Amino acid sequence: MEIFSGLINGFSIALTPVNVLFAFIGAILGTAVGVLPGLGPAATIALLLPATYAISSPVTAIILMAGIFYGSQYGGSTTSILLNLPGEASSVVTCIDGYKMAQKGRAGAALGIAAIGSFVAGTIGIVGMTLFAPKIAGFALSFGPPEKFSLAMVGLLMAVTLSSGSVVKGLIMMALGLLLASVGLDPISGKTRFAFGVIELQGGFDFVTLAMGVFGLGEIFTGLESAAKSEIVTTKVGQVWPTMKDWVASRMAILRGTLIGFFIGIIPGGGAVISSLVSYAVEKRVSKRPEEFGQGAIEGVAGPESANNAASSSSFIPLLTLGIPGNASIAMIFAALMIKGVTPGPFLIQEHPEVFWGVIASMYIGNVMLLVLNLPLVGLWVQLVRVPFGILAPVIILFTAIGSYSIQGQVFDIYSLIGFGLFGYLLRKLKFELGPLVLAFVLGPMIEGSMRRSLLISGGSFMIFVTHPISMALIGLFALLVLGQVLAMFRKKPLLET
Amino acid sequence: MDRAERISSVVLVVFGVFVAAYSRHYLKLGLMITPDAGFLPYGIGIALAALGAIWFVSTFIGRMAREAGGAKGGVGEAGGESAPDRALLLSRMLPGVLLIILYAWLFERAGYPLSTVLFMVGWQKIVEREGWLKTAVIALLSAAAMYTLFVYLLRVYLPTGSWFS
Repeated sequence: MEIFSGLINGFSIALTPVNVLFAFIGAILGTAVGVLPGLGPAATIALLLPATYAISSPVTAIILMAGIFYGSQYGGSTTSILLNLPGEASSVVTCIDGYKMAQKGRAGAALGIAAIGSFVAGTIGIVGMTLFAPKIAGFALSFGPPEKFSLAMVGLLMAVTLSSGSVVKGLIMMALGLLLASVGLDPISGKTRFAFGVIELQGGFDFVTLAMGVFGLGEIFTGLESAAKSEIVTTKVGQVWPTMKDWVASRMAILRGTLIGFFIGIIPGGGAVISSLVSYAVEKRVSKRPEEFGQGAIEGVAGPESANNAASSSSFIPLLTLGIPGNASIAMIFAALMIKGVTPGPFLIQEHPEVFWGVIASMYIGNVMLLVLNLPLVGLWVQLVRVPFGILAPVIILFTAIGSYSIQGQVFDIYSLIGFGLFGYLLRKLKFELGPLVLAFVLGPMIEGSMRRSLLISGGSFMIFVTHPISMALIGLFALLVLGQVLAMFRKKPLLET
Repeated sequence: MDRAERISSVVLVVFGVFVAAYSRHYLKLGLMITPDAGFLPYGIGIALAALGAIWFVSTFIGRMAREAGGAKGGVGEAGGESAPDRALLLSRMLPGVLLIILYAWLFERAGYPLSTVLFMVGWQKIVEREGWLKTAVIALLSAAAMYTLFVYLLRVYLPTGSWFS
């Protein structure tokens, strides 16, 4: 009953004209960045973080950011199917059968099932979030400093171990993120750390500048290295409504993809990419015609597209209930909430119910918008790929530079932005994943604060983290996951990928 | 790629040692019950140095595994692959970065309108090598659009230029 009344309240907030407008803008922007290869949702949300200062309501700001995040999962499938050009990493697997279907003249059916599967999975994901999130938040209310420390550390380490790159490189990113977070005034002792006499560094690095530099500017620098012009291959879309045979073949794939995506999305580091890969593997395994996979099997589109959308919905659960962002895009939304003076975590549902329920309700609305936007406007989205990099790149640079300057009105932030941009470029060249860096930067203050408080409580003993039951359970869970990963690696591939 | 990774890993080890030493001597570690400002950064410094060392060793393991497997893509070939990148690096990336630094330097001195138009003109002419007409149209339109967005819609203060005040 409490959930029902909360949801009604959420809809009354999400359905105000301003919030509907921002959900719409978010859905449009999200679809656009999903279509455009290179510029991902994390970079786009990072670019829009300065705009959150101008949006007075935190609910409206988060509705916009959430729309971009889940909208990008919808948009990613369009160019994967029509052009064999994945706009998003989570849509790479859709290329395999989606593009084959397009080559056989069945692009419409592939796009249709991708959009419908995305809608079904996204909606079921939000229903799951509506039901489970308040319970998880209630449970997390009892967390003290040791539990908070273990939760944040385990969340971070899971994001590292489950990411697709090298574990060692992920750990390096995590350590660098924690170090960057420690720059500036130490809140407990009042000492200034790593400022080296630079007055502007005494307040520490700003998350917005870091995120815009590493993601936004870093991507532009990487793009400058490839002068290749994208060519549009005209593919006939045809009828976008799937046939009865397509429905029968896809319905269980959509359901399985939804379940896989929902549960993987909750795990920090899980997210849309892993869930789409797992879903594809499962569909191929359970299929009676596995030989058709790779040749245009509709289940190969329906499953992964459902999975990545369910994952994008459920990845909000750890953020809204535990205050733990599970991926880079969610870390940006975490930062946006902090900018608006709202601390994500178990108290969010009590202290800011309008944010909690407003965002959940807006996701129901956003999913319907995305279905309407995606099916009839497929042709329009494909045209977006024609936007020349020569115009897009300097405009994004201007946007990031002015955006970082606007935070504190100092040119130093533009220089920091350029530094982070070059850092992001270098990390990309060396095949580092950027997610753990921003996640660690966001969680750094919480990790350090809760660790120091825990040591004070325990009289200086680290045993507090294994004597508290919840903390111990979290660490045990992580140890099991690592053990499983190590065993799998010994069987299949080496620990280090260089 | 192996060479770049090896150099980066050594830099990381040195950086980690510096962070640990700085944290220990200047920030102080404190006691276990009341850790001081340097406690966590010290641990991070040690971790970075150790991870850098593992990364360094792993580049050799990776190379040996490739050689044992007979896979292509050794150091020489990686160097060959990056040759065209180097040309683009000099013709597009380097001027692009210099233009942004120049833009930051000019931003408060020359003010938003002039510095932005100059940046866009520089970008279109030097990085993209476009004609004057296209350059002028893109520069003026994008500067005006950004000004409208930030000043009128987002209500952000943009400098008019200390040189002109």
